[in-house]
Amino acid sequence: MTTTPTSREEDQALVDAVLNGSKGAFERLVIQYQKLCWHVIYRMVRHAEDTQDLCQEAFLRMHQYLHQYRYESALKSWVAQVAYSVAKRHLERKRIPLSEPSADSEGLSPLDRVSDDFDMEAAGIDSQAAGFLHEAIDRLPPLQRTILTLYHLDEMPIAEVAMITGLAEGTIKSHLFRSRKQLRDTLNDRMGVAA
Amino acid sequence: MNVEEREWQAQEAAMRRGRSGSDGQKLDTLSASYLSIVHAARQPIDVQLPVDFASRIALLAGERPHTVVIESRFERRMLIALIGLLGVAGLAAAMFYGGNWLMPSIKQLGQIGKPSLSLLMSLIACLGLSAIWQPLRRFVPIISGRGF
Repeated sequence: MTTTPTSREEDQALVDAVLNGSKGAFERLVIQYQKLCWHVIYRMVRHAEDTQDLCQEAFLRMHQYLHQYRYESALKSWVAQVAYSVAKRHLERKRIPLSEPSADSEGLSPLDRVSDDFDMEAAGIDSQAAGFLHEAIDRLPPLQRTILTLYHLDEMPIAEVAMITGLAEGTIKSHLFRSRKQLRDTLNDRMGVAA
Repeated sequence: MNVEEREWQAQEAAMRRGRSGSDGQKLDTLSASYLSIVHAARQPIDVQLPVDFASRIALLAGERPHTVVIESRFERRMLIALIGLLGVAGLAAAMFYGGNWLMPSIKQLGQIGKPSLSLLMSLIACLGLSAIWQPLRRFVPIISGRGF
């Protein structure tokens, strides 16, 4: 898990402290959620320097708009929602498509673009698979990568992922299903070829 | 259970195994085929933020005009002022009209039992709007306050 689960009371106390200008309160909020913010933004933009700048922008926005947070969801989800929104806007500015449901412009699935020079012989079969999978996840479209990370690494329920991304729960399930199946099938094909 | 549903259940079983980390329950072949995917998706991501990131952001945020607190305090003060004004107005009305306002008010309340068609239509419109408000918020960012 990225962050330790916090109760609604803890969220409220922290938000109140920030809104009342208590010393160190906002710094505490940043420390608590910087890892989650990095996960969301890095998975979206895949560039460390950009992610750092966007994390800064996201937290400054949180500071500016914290009074709009109405406790309808966990603070963690609201933070992820702001981070997602900042990263999404960045990708839109750069005209990078958020999601490629089937194939890209070259007619290839994102997973087909995983480099062929990955050294399958150099390592054991498990680390081969792990290395290939990391590369394959990295090559997924931004939205699918982020959904996969929020669901598996940050262990967020589907409803929360839907809230963060502003998509319907069915759409999240569909993305998860297709990404995982695609990864598994590509891995099977690749490892089968290697064997 | 159709093929896709079985595949989804297998993915979810692998996900649960990944989260629990236990080897207790035996997974079927299909679920087991997703374990490596789950493990890869759960691999921690290297967070490359400087150690003083939080303090730097807090400093930056402090330098910017804190409209949030001002607005929040402003809202709170306005709320207190309006509640006070309502109390004073109520008291003044009671003193000015004495008990004369009581009977007409009771009469008005009696009318609620016999609503007109337009009132009923308005009520239905209000309930309808409230019902579609939540689903609408999901699709229209500006309504849900996602304008950050």
